[in-house]
This record gives sequence, C-alpha cells and structure tokens, in this order.
Amino acid sequence: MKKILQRAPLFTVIYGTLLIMFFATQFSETLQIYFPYFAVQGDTILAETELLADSIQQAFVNPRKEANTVVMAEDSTNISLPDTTSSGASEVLSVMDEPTPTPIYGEPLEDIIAASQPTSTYIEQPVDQSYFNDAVFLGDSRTVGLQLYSGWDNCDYLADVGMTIYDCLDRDISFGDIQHTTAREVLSTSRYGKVYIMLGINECGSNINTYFDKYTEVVDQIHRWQPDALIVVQGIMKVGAQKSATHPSINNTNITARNEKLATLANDWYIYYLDINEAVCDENGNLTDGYSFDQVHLYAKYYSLWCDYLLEHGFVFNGVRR
Amino acid sequence: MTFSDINFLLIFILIYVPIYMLLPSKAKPWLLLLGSMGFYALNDIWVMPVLLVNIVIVFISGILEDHFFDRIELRKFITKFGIGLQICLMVISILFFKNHTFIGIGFFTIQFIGYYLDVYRNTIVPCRNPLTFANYIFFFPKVLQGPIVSFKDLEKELTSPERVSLAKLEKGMRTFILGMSFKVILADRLYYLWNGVQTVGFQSISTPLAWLSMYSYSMQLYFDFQGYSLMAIGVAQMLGFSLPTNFKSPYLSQSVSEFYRRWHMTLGEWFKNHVYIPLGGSRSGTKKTIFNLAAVWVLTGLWHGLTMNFMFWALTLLLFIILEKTLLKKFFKSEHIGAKIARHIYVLIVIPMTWMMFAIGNIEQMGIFFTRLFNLTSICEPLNVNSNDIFNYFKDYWIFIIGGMICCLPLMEEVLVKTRIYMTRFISFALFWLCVYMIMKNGNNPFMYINF
Repeated sequence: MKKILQRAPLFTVIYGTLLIMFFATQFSETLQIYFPYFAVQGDTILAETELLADSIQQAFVNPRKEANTVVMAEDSTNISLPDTTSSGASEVLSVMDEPTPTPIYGEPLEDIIAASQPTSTYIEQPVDQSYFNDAVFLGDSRTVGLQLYSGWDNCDYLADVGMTIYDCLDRDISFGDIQHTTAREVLSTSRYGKVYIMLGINECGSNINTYFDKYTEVVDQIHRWQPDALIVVQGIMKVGAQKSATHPSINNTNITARNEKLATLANDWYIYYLDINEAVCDENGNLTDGYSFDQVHLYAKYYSLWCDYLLEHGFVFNGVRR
Repeated sequence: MTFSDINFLLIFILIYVPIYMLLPSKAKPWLLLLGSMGFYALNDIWVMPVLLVNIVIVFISGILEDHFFDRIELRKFITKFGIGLQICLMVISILFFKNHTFIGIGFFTIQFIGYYLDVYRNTIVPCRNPLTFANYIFFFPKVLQGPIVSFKDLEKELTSPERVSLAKLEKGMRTFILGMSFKVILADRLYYLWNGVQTVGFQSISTPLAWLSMYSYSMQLYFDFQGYSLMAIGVAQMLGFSLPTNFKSPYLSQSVSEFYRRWHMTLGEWFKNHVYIPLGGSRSGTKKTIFNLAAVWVLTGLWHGLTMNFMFWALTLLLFIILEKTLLKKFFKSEHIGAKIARHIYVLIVIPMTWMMFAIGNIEQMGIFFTRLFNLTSICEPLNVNSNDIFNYFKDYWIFIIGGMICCLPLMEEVLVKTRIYMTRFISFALFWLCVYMIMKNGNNPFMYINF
C-alpha cells in the first residue's frame, strides 16, 4: 500500500477521493446538488428535461442590454380608443355579456381583484412598434433570440437560456444593467402594460398537467403584481419536422397538446392567447425547413416573422372597464 | 460512452484498473477483450455482429495469405477482394445509415486496409492468434477515434501484457487528466460559441464575430481531438500500453505541409506509408510528386466524409501544399526571421479558413460565411446583424479563448505530464475534480470526431 502511494500518488489520491465521493453523494443532499450524477437517479423525465436545458444552454449568449429603464405604464399613453365599427361594438358587447371569470388557480382572487384597479378588455388589431413601449417579454432562449434580433429596444426582456415555467420567476437572470435579479423582483416592483410569455420547450418532457397548473399559477401571480396589464400567452413555437420525428418529448404532437391547453387560459379579459406558429410553420405544422439550424431556434433573419406576427396581432384597449 | 463520461471514470478507475493490475498475465488479454467489447457495445451494440464477422474475415484472409505464400496471383486476389469489401462496407454505412452512424468505421476501415497491405507486402507476419487480433482491432482506448496504430506496433505489447507498472499508471493518469481538461474545460465550452453562431445563421453575424468564431472553432476542433487522443494515450498507458502521439502543437507550424505532419499524425503516417510511398513518394520528379500528393489528399477528403465540403477542404489544402513545394519553395526554405514570422501568420490565417470548409457542410452556407468573413456585402447582403454580437460573445467566452491560445503551446504538456513535482500533481488533481464537476454540471457532448 505504501509502495503504491509512493509510486503512484496521483492515481491513489484520485482513486480514494472518487470512491469516497461516490459513496458520500449517496447520503449527502448537499453534495448531490453539486455532483448530481453520482447520486442515484430519480425521476427520469426530470433528468431528460434537464438534459435538454443543458443541450440548448448557451445556444445564445446571455444578453446584457445597455442602459435600460423600466417603462412605466401608469398613464397608458399608447392605448387608443377602439374603432366604432359595428363588429368592434358587437365584440365588446359579447365580452361584456360574459360573467366575470372565476380565478383559474388556487384560492379565489376576488378580494385581490376588487382591491386592484378594474381590468380592461382589448381588441385585436395591427399596431406599430411603439405598442411595445410598456411591454415585457418573459421567455427562454427563443425570447433571448427575440431580444437580440428583433431590433426592438423599447421593451423589456426577462429571458434566459434554459428557462422553464417552473423556474421563470426565481431564476437568476440579468436585466438591463442589473447582473443578478429575478423576474419576481422585476415584475413585483415595476409596472407594465403588457406581459408576453412564451415558455414550454425546455420542459416538454415534464407532465402536461403539472406544466399547465404551473403556467396558470404563474399567470395568476403576474396578474396580482400587474393588475392592469394585458397578459399574452404565446403558444410554444414548434420544432422542425426531423426533430419532431426523432425526439421522444420535444415533438410537435406534444407541443400542440400543450398549446391547446394554453389556449384555454385566455379569458378575453386580461389574458389573451397568440399562436405564432401560423407565421413560422409549413402546411404540415412543422417549423419550416430552412428557418432554423437546430430545428428549435429561428435563424436571426427570421425573427422578423415573429415580430411581424406580434405587430399584426396587437391587443388594443377598448376603453371599457369591467 | 466516451472517456469523459462519469460512468467510464467510475468503472475504469475504480474497478477495471485494479482488477487488470492484479490479474495474472495470461488472463489479461481476456479482460482486455472483455473491456473493449463492453466499451464498444455501450456505444453501439447493433453493429457489433457486423464488426465481429468482419474481424473473422480479415483474420482468416491473413492466415490464407500466409498459407499460400508462394501463389502471388491468389494473394493479390485476396488482398484486392478484402480491401474492396472494407471500402464497400464503409461507403454503405455512410450512405445508408445516416441516422445510425457506424461509430469508428473510418478507423476500423483504415486499420483493416493497412493490415491487408502490410500482410501483402510482407512487412508483417499475419496474426495467428485470434485473441491478439481481436484485441488489436477492438483495443478500447483507440477504438472510437484512434490514434491509428499499425498491427506491428501494437502486437508486441499485446503479446506481452506483463508490462503494467505503477510508474506507467501514474504517467497515464497525468496524460489522461490533461486530455480530459482539454476536452471538458476548453472544447466543450468553445463548442457553444460555434453552435451559437450557427443558430444565429451566418447571414446575420458581424464580421468580427465571423473571425472570432473561426478561431474559436479551430481551437475547439484541436482541443476536442487532441483531448481525446491524450485520454486514449493515458488510458492505454495506465494498462501498460503505449500509443503513438497524435498531435505536436500543430498551430505552431510554419507551413501547411508541416501542419499536417503535426496534426492527426497517425493518419498522416498511414497515408504516407500506404499510399504516398508505395506510389513513389517525392523521388520521381515534380509531376509525379504532385500526382502522389493529390492521391493522398483526395483519399483523405473521402475518408472524412462523402460530402462536397470535405473534398473542397482537401483540395484547397492540396493547392497550398503544392504551392509551398513549387512556386513558393524559396520562401518556405528561408531562414530569415521575417520569413519565419510571415510563415507563422500565413499558417494561422490559412488553416482556420480551411477549417471553415471542413465545418460547414453546405457549400452555399460556406459561401455566405466567407462573405461575412471579408464583409463582401455586394455579393451577399447581410440580414439583421446585431453589431454588438462580438461583445456579447467575447464577454462570455474570453477566458476560454485566452486559455485555449495558451494551451495551443506545448507548455501544458511539459508541465502537467513531464514534470513530476508535487505542485503539478496537485494541479492535475484539481483539474480532475474540476472536470468531474463540469461534466456533471453541463452534461456531456460526444466527441466531434466520432462520426469519422
């Protein structure tokens, strides 16, 4: 033994530490956080999700925008009055006829809603870029791409590579000049007129109901912080045909199922649903071939399709308060 | 499963090495074969049968050639048939199994063909021990990506497995750790820069980013492949074998031809011994030399892949090598310090550009990349360029780029492998655990070169 230690000290020490570490991680939860693989693997679905988050991690570099101040939405300058066309009016009426939606998640929110300012209804119509003056985008690497290549610097982005609905509020992200903050911090302290969300590709491997419940919870939470804000749930952008055909969980069947659920969140009151896939998919419902290198993220030059779609489908306050 | 996989580290270091060291010499080859087959099966169990049948065919062919020693015609036929079969198999596997790549096929093919040629030319005695032959082909440190070893070089060590020693174990560990650091700390990180640039699309990158990504890719390719080679050498060393060096600080070369004598050296050697020299080498006139070089480079291009970009890559290199040997001969022989510096700069500009041909499979995309590299906006209009992209990338990757530049020098190998003081051992130990931590934190991406 002494001879081995003398002749091969490096090997011996590595052997020893590796052995100790392997057994130690089976018992210590702290070590498991830093050395997860040594621990006995638990939920395979979760592991797979993490794997994807890793694989597309840093597909984009983390954005760090220059000086960026939070746009206040208190006076809602860009909100225009609705057209007085008959169709618009009937839409307003139909919206007003509906009973007040009950909160979707958790305990009733009536008290909170009553205490906050009355919320408004919106009409879908084309808008220009200034519409996004009081907007914030919450999302994963795809939204990071939007931040870098939309050319829109009049809005805010709470986006990070690998972000999921589960960690979107508490993930350590950079925001403008601030290096370390969270979406929770920003959304609970600033005021926005519109919150655009697209999350779901990283957690495609997780259970669809858990995902939907968490999504509902996040949307409700954002509404509590931003009672006046319009929340736009964007359907998850689909992936390319080849990826869809070969990946066990990140495929368009799975994405479509999730999007169908997300669409039900819309309440024609303060939550609206948009599916940008209309703009980027082919007739078979796959991300158009040639729009993406990795079949998941759009090439920079095609972000304009997403932007144009959002501009085509702006939601403009119709002046009726509920 | 590759060498920078936690499963491999655990099984190999904790279980395999101690058992291998303790076993009597006679049992060692069997354990080696078991380990090798297990290692390959974990990577690709479905082609194992094909490979085993193939090994039997080559083994029997060798014995037949030996048996019909004096019948030249028959031997010629066996050799031609054997080589043809190997090439067919490689082509078929590349063309028809695109989604299911036959791992290590290029390396198998080249070793089988080498074996046939060596037997035919009587440079080796055909192997008569199936265990030794299977071990030569399957030897797990080199099975996936080389270094390419000839039968002659490995035979001696395979037939006398008592060469294990604690000193080799220690040295192997140091080599392995250096390789793993290259792979995990540098190559796997730099990978994300190139991947990011591809995701953005070449048409939308700024010219500075094009240059940065080109150098980043060049380093990534080097550390990936050199990292693997060092790990392979280290693993073999721990078991008492010595595999040949595959890289000798290639980016410090002063000409393209020198670069390829220092880059993937075992492949270069193979082509030299089995193609270039049999064709006559450089001894029968300039025209013949150019023809022989062309043969080598066309085959090298084909070996890397059957797509246009590899041929483009190989022919561009051929062009530069011919220029170096003919028109610019004087410049490349000059001892003047200015000429030396100019040659270094020349290599550091030409080689990364040829790597771009290597890396970008689509010719049109390759063209777009070069228009961005030289900012030729009149040929191809850039779209939606974020002019700050270079800062974003540099901010995230500067440490790997600077670290990579330092590691392109032979410095690290000198310090970590050849120096044996406690300080360097401590650094190795720290690097090992940093690598383990990074593998666990970031997942693992398989070696880039694994498809060839």
